Amino acid sequence: MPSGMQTGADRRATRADAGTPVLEARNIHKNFGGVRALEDVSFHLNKGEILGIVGDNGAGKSTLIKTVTGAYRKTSGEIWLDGKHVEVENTRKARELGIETVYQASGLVEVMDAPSNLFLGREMTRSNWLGNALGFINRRKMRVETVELLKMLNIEVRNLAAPVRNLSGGQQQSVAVGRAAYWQGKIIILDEPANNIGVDQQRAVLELVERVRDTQGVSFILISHNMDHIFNLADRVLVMRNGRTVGNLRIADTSRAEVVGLITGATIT
Amino acid sequence: MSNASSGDFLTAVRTRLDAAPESALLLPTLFLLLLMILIFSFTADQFLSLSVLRNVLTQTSIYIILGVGLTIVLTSGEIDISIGSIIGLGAMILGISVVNLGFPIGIGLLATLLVGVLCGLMNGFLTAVVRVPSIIVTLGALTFFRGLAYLLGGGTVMIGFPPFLVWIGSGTFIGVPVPVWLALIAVIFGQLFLKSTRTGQHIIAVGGNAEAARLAGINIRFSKILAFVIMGALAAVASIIMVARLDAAQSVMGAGIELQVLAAVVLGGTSLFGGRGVILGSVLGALILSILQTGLLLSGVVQFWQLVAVGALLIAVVALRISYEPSEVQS
Repeated sequence: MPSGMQTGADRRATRADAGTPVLEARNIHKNFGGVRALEDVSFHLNKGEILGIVGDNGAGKSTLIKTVTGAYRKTSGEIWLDGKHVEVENTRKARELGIETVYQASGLVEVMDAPSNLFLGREMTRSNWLGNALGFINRRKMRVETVELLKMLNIEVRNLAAPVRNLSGGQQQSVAVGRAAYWQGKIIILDEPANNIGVDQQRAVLELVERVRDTQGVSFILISHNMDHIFNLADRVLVMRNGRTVGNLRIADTSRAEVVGLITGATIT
Repeated sequence: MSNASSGDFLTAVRTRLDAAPESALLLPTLFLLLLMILIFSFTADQFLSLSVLRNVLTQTSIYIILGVGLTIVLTSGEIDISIGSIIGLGAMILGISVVNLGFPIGIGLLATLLVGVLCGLMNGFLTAVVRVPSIIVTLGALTFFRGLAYLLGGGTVMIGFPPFLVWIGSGTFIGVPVPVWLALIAVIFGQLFLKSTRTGQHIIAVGGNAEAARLAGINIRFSKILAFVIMGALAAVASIIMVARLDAAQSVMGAGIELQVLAAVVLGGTSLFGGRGVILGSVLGALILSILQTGLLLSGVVQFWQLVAVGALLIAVVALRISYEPSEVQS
């Protein structure tokens, strides 16, 4: 386990001084040819916070996330991390900066087992010459690390040696979230984490998100269509419509009716 | 979850099979191989003799070496049907450098290997960088390399290779034919490379889910090009063995071998859609095809029936596998 895992007490301490946001996007514009996909979008994410992003299909949620994580190049605007201006040129840079993304289609290689997926692209090698010179992987060590991580995050995986496609959708999603947590993402972005999985498993994944937030002080951005998930989990919600932000509300101060009204553009009385 | 003991047993079996999907594929293939040996030991009297088995092993070693390479290419999600022509081109390079130009055999072997690597590099580059589908690239390369082989050698047969090359083809080392040793080395290399190195894992990941591999920072282009380069180098090794066995080089060498090798690899359980490569399965697949052909021949079956049998066996095995594992048909 990489060092720097935080205890709950640490987290509460750090979360209390929500001074500088861990992530801030300022005046983001994104054009695809002549189409304006994002228009002057700004938002911030505090440490240990879960920020929900909602909006209708085509409102710009995924575009916004892809722009922030370097999967798309923004037309203009600035990204600030911990009060520092950064350029996120590509997804690799985003990961180096501590932004891990869990993609809708889970981003796992279905034919490989959980430890191989957890360490995908960052495999542990043996400490002897075989590992150094020839890149021989250390399966046992990766397995031990995986067991430890899954135990810590209370993720249940039936069979660690099985290809992940033999696991349930919820377990797969848990492995994906666990991977993001393992690699010390300071910010984890979840794009529709509960899509295509059963209701029980959705709850398990959402509980996992809370647990990771509480034990490791990670900040989350949660894109979801599901108002229940947003209202149960998020601290704040960003509402998008037609490539603009039309609302930035604390969950405690708003209602579903208000959020839905903002999403659809209907006025509420 | 079942609390009955039979349920526990089934769960245990399932866990085992889940955990080692490869052995679930290998066991039936091994069973088929043993069954075939058993049948032919009755139908053909000389079948179980040492000289026949030794002959089968030696001639299969070329298919095994090519099978290792093709397994790696298929695992990366691509295919290479140009290998027969790489063999022909390699044979010409070996013949021209050693026989016509009189270079030492070492230089000739190195030149042959180099040409194999370059052929693989070309296939890999066009597939991974120019993004032409590998079936098209290697279909073009199939005639392209063969054409080069004819341009270089015409229809002549080059003979008069030094004794060292003849030893590679017909000699033995500790009582085992040299081609069998080379095949063994190729299998050990393929197995360790694919299952135990980072690069091998990346090739599996690229073939299993290219998008997930890309998002995890794996270099897809490098992985695919490397797979084709390994294939090219192994095709060159096969080419050397083939020339050595005949003690002659000819432009037509290796023609049509790609289909045999593909059949052996698919028989062994490697997925045509990438992400699953079973090196040991390819070895078994190659042995099954050889034994089937030799066995039928020694049992006095006409050659045309051998072709029918090989084709029917391939389709039957894959059909059986699909009925047990529907995911085979996807993607």
